[in-house]
Amino acid sequence: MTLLQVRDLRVSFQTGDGTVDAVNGVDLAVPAGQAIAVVGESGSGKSQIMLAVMGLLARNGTASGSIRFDGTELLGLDERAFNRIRAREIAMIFQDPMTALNPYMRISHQMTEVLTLHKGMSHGAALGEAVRLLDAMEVPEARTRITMYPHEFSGGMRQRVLIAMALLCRPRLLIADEPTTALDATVRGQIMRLLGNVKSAFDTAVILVTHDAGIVAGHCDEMVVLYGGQVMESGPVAETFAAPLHPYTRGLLDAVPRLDRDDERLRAIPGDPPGMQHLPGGCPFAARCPRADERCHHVRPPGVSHGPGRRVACHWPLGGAG
Amino acid sequence: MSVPLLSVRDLSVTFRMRPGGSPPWARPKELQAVRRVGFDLAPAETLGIVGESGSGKSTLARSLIGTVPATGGRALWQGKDLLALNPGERRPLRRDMQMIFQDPLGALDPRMTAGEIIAEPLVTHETDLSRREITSRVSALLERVGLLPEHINRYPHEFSGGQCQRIGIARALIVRPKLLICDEPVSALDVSVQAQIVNLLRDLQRDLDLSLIFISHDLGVVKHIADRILVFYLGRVMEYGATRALVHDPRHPYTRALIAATPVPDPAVERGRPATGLEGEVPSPLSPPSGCVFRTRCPVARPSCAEAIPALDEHDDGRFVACPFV
Repeated sequence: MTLLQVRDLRVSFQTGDGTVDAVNGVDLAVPAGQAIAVVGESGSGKSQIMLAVMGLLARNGTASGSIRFDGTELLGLDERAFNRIRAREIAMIFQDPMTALNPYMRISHQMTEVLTLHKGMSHGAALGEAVRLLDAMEVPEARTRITMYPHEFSGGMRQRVLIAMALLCRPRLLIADEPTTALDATVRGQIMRLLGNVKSAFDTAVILVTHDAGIVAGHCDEMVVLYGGQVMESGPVAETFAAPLHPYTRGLLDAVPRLDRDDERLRAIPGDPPGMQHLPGGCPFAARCPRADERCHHVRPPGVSHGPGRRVACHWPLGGAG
Repeated sequence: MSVPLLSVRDLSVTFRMRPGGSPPWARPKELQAVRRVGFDLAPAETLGIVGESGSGKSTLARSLIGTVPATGGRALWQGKDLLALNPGERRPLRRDMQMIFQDPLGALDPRMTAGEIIAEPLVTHETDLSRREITSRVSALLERVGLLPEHINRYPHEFSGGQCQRIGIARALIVRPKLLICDEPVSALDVSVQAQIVNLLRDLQRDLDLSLIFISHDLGVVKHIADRILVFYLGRVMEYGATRALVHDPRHPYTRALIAATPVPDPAVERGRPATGLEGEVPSPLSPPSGCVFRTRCPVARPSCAEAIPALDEHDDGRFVACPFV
């Protein structure tokens, strides 16, 4: 069953320097109970898609297209109905766990507030549930540490608190926006393992938004590759890594420095990501693409099906049969 | 190894500070950010320094260029002890040692053009140059770091992160230094751009016979540029050795854990790997564990690890490992 269905999503912002098109016709499907990765570099529109799903776009931003969650259209939904969905059905965690927590409030207060407000639980019951979730996220001595303030926790512990907090109302979808980017290498693995457990233990679908192809490889089922606010390629993680269809995906995977290979030089993609204000008319990747021809610069390639479960938006996809 | 350009012995940096929340009259605690670090850097060689946040790797770099006072040890620069020089004696050496930083845009003055930024060190260090000479050197370097001639009159906000880092590199190289210290130079950049900058630094190093100290939390990046790697944890050297040997045959349990924690972008490899992640997090440097600082997270720790600080033992292949049990 498809839990979240995004169709032809467009997000644009009115700024002093004109319109910025951050998301340009993105399709996305998240099956219930699965983990999908949304991979993209800065400016790819990955965070704006998620903010549109959460109804949290900045005031100068507008979204069009369709975002259906479990059959309900979220775009244009009134604030009260949206609040109900945000609280109970969809939760989101962010890159910087410190700024997502209120520094003046004890963790216990911040966590129980969610349950007393949305579920009408008593304070005692809410506290018990909060401790249970911190335990599940392997926060040591949860019962005593829950009375601490955010600054008394380390970065990794704060991220555990945030995941626990996001799971309080047992949402069916958890959006994790770069959850490990601010963390140290040895802590990153711990958090990814916990997020993996969330999927099975809580039957929650997870969208992992990241720039890091490395963490996608070990922890997700499906992946969507974004560039310039458009989907370049989507499909199962194993097949996409083994044989990418889009030249951008190939370039991105090749650019990752690998410990298990002795390359003399890193394989960089020449050039820089496009500015969103002057997005080219054709394929957004054309200017940096080794396979691009005249058509790529003028005609935007549509996303087409390419083998079971895979789609690619490229005039000259890799792997022959294009 | 040839005569080292820089030879560091027993370098220590200690800060005196009051922990957050303590009253102003409380006795300040000592924070040992860097403890008795030593290494040699040959001309045209790259030393990689790897460590997690709070490991003291940036403090080490800053103590070398003199923005943080070292509290012990020696740093011999072509025979002269940098740490014993007064600021006046130090100034002429500054030109030989330049630095680039993590935040590429934040390191550039927003009110200066790229050309002015790159030329600025010449105003300090080479006062006898004519305007024409300055312009020609700036343009030549601009091209060498991969920017276009028309970029010379643009302001930092008009550039992407990768381009800003190229400007930072040009500014550092304009005075023809012997040593370039790179403090997390690619951490703020996108993966596809990160590779460009690492390759650029490698090329520049070869062409200009530069020595590099390359600091990063990412062992994967360091591996692609460093000849030798120093692995840092809580201000101490855990392991020090030639890059290939260290990556393919890590000896210290911390180096092993760091390699295990670096994800491989290949589902076939990644899913077949055993989950050997470290538990816990880096302890506070204000109250480091006694004995070996890594023992609280070490999978092979023994009771004796709490008693004495392990010596940095030399192994057969010229490698140094601070663990008696490997």
